[in-house]
Amino acid sequence: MELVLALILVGIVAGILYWYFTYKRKPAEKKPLPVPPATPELPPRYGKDQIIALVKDPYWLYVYWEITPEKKAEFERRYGPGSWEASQPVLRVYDLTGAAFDFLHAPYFEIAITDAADNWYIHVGRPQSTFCIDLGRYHPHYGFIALVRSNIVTTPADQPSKVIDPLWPPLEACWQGAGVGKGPAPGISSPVLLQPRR
Amino acid sequence: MPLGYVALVLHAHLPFVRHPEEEYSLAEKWYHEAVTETYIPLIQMVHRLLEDKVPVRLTVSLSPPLASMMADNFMQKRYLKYLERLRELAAKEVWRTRNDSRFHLVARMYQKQFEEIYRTYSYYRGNLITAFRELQEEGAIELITCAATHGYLPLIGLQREVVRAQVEVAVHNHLRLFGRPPTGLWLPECGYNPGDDVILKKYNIRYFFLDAHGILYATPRPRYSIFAPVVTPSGVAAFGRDLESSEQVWSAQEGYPGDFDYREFYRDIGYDLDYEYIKPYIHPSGLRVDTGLKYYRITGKTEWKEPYVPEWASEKAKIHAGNFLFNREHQIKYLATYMDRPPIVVCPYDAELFGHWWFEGPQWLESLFRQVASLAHQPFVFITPSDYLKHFPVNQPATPCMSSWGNNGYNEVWLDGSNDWIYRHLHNAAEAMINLANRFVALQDELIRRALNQAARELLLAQSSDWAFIMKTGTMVDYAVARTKKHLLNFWKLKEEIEQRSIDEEWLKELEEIDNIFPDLNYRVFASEGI
Repeated sequence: MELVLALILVGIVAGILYWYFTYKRKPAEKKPLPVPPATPELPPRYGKDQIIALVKDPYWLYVYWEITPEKKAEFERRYGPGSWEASQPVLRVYDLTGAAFDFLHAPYFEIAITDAADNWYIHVGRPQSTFCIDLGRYHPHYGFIALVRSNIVTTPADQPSKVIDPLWPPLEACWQGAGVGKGPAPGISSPVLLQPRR
Repeated sequence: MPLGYVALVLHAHLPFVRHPEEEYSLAEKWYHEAVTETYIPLIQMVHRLLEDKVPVRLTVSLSPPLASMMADNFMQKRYLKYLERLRELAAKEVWRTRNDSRFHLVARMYQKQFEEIYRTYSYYRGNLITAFRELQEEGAIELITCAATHGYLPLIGLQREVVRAQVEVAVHNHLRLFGRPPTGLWLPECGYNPGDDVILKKYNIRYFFLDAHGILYATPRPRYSIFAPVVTPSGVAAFGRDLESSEQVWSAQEGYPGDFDYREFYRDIGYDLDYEYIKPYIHPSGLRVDTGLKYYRITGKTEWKEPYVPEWASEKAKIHAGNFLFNREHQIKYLATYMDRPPIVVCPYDAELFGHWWFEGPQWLESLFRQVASLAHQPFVFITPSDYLKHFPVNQPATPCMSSWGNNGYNEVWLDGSNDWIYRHLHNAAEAMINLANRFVALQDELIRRALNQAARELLLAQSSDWAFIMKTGTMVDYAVARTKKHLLNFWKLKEEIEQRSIDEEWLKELEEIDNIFPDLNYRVFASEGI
């Protein structure tokens, strides 16, 4: 008899505990947090084979590019199956200063990049110089194979010009007062209204 | 002939932050604050000078997005609501501080200021365009324009059509609002790319401004460095910013605005006062924001701040105006000894510096005009670039250097790891827009024409340099990213609908109502014709 009672008691306690842990411990009806409507994303690709160059400053360029699957397929057709994987992506930077479009004779340098990249900052280190960039691949047998060619860009000057117009010879006094040598004014910039709170 | 000239140039700009879809918008608040603290005080200042017959000559660039917001009925009403709340808060503050001698006078100063702003605003029936137009007619200010949506031309201008569209829309908008074609154009961020001047010339722009090194590094080397303009190969004059006077006004450390008697920007009652009390005047979510009522002076390089004393600050503004005058006078005297024509010192500033960041800026400016006028010996004359070019039509031919007035002087502020991703999208969208404009020439269908116009508007709005700038500076980045994406996505959707010739009219109408900048825009500004 006592055993039965004890069993019933244990059963009740277990039931309460079970109820407590399954229902009570659960937060009363989890309300889903209001999810802001997912902003649709911009197209990751534009279906164009292109490389675009922009000037950042006298020493640096920025390029971004896109290569379509069609271009890749064409590459594989021409250079053999697996040739894409077997080759390395490379940026070839032509220095066209003084001889625009003379790609045959223009000096160039190359940067090995990775297939994961779709943009790159290029240190050219040359103010007042003109550049054009080919995105291509280095193939063990065929060498450099260009895929796309960029627009032509020119870096700005980083010092006063050496060219003097004989009709307008520079006045030393004006140049002393202008703060040359300081370079672009540091720290005084725009637009002030949108600056962050301290 | 005077010894020399000073050209004060104020560049007023805010991105298009019109948000009728929101009850409260932090971005719109930029506009409200700038109207209260900068644009109306500026108008009032010029009025006072004119009343007292003080000669005033000021060049003011009003960017098309800013001018469009000023002209917009919804923005006008929203601002009025904002101003009414501000007056209410100021009145409460006067009462709250009635026994607090430290702050009572400051609270009364704000109340007086807001009441006067309210009076000016009502006088113009909420339309500040009228006010600026009037000052232009009076000959006090020369209004110039900027690029349509303040696009940073050296980076968005991959296609010439884009630069052309930014310029043409701006010039057209200026003529529509101010009744005169603009004589000059403020290149957004002084961002110049050699060759862009050809497009300016086409729209009869006679001058633009560059940061000092844009002129100093020009080819050939300019004879007068920055103390005379050069004329670009296309025939537009380029004026260079004077570094010395810039630094005195701009620099928070060495410049005037950092003076210990001036108002401390970072102590606002929106943060300082009891939450329950201030709650109706901050963000509805309870987020504390600036109210515009700031009671402390800079005091020193300490966290401890002393109460603001308006009288001391006004006195300092006069002293600093005197100092500026003294320095310009000496600079000009020195230059004039060596130059074979009077030097021009060009002092361009962001208009919002005056009043918003540097609270006493408008007083400084007013005092400067008054002090120069009171001198018997005329140390220099205030001039606008177009007046200067009338006096000196022959200038040295030279090609300025690609430059901007951003940090380090070139394009890096608008092109770095934080914002470089936008250009792929901006350029591709621009190319698509140019193709649309070239394809749809003689359109019969009104709905398609409207969709094309809206597509052009959305693209222009995405091109605003402010988004890249905000991404770079790091506050409200989400907003800048969202705006960039929103306008571009709107553009692509419109393009798709146009090509399929199936326009969702309801949605188009909604867009036209929200992004209502440039009501008479013609999408053909993006066509390649004549480029």
